Amino acid sequence: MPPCEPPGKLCIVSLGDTPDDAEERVRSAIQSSFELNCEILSPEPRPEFALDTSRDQYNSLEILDWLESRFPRPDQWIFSITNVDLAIPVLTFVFGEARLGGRSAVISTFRLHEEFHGRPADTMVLLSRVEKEAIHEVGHMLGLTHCLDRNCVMYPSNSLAQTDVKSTRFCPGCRSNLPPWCLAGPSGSD
Amino acid sequence: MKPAVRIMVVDDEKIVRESLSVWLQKFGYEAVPVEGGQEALDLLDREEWNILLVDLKMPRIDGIEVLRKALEVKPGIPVIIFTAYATVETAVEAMRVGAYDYLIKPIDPDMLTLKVQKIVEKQSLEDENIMLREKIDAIYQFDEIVGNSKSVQEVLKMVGSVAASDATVLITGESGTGKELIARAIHRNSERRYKPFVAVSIGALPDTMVESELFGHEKGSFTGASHAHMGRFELADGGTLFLDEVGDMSPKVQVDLLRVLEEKACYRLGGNRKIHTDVRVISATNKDLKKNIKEGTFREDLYYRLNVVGIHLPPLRKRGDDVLLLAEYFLKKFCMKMNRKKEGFSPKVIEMFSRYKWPGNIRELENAIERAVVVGKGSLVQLRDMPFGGDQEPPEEKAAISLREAEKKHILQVLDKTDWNVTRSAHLLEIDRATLYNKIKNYGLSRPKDRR
Repeated sequence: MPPCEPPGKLCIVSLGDTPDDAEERVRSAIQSSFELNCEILSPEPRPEFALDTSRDQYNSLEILDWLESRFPRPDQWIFSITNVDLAIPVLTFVFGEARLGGRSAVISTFRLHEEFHGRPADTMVLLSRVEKEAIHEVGHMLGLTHCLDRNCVMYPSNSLAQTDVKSTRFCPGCRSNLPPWCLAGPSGSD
Repeated sequence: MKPAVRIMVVDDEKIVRESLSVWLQKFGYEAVPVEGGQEALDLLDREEWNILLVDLKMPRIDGIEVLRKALEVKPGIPVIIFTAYATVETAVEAMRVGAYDYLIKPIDPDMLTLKVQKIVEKQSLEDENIMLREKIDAIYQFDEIVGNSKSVQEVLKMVGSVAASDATVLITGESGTGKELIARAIHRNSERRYKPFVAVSIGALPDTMVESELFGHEKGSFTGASHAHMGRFELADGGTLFLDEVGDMSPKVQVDLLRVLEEKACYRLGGNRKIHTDVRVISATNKDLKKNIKEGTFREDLYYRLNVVGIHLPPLRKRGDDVLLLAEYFLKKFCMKMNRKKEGFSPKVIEMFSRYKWPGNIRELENAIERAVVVGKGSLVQLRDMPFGGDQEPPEEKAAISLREAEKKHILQVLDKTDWNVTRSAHLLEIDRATLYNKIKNYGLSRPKDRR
């Protein structure tokens, strides 16, 4: 159920502080994978409205609701980056969340940091994970569901190991399910 | 395209059921949020579902009650119970009633992914299994055993009664009477029908290979054994092993086979691991095993092991009108296979069917009909289409004549061809004239004009 119409613009916005270069890397990753016109907006505040104080995590779906009301133009897609820990009520955490075939998405850098797992900081590794999660969530916005191919960017990541193994590319099956207007290059970025 | 996997997410909290449904939908599943226990049971009654994810604590009908009723309506449906208020008591209760699993909120996404994927994989294998079984049953619903004669009806009755047991069966009968077909029919009508039917023709194997074929061998157990190899007994585990031409087994193989039948276990050549085998053995021979026992070439104890039930297949020449029935069956089969149209057989052919002795039995008849369908023209099979050619008499018991008889016929044929020129005949036969004169005398041969 990919959206029929391409958006006028895909806007990238930080919610609170995000790692240096994160917005720029997200923009270049998305633009090298899809024919989407991207624009970086000035940052919005941390999404405190979505905080679940009982578990000190932020409800990702509430963030999507907020994004859609804050940026109501239907031809404007919103891709947000935050450094708060995201979750939905049933699950311990999510790396990101996107409306399947919709116009909003959020990814969190919180668990993508090496430091979160007790290892020394590594900006290169962090940004490479940010790129993969960004392309994955935009894939959902374009109607793609998860893929069983471990190398495909649509493979579901529930752990960093899974994120690190997969590539930024779509497998041929997922690629053929993308709306034709959004395809860039012969097989996406590398 | 496969139908989507349908998952019901039952929770009284809207945000919980909707967020989990949305999360599952991203896997391509058709996840449906359902508000309460009663709604869940109503939907379960009306629609097909693959998995139920149910919150334990709900007003009115709680998760355990949904689980219990769901299993009453759809026995075996996987129900995963989740709760934020886990206690040992509720966990034990859920598992006792029959929950697939019991998870504590918040759930690790990787764990939930794996649990759901495991159920989906299992269900798809089960579906495939059901489909394949239906296919097997459909393939075999056409009975290939044709015949109205009393002897064949008795054989079929025997097949029916022996199939249910695990008793060994010894099928005897001339070559080409359909011994393997009967063995397969017993297998197909037995509880073992979805397990393998493995056939091995012992007579076709060199003696040195029989043991390795039957029992397998370990790597390096003999020159050329570069890999470990499973024996036919192992391959047939749970199913039926058909041993053809058991009358040709060497004394050594007979001893080994007897031991396997008694112990229900075997050892691979060069191996010391005991391999247990659950195999029903059906054997067959065209030899007279009782005669072989008397001559000391077949073990009596093995004979009784193999022959708990004996089935004798009559030769085709003793089956009366079955010849025509079988011929019609094969005619239909080959016409369908080769896309030809034949109405039946000419009266001469039908008359020949009953007169001919069919030394090759059903196999010979089958080959004859196949040939007739290939070469024959017109809507009826004519005598000239049969392998015996033209309007000739079918060869009388061609395969059964003695060497002496064959020599006599051949010498007569050569003499007739040379118009009884003994010198030329001797030359053709590559014997000297004196020998030929002796043979003419011994066989009492005479010139055609003298024969008249």
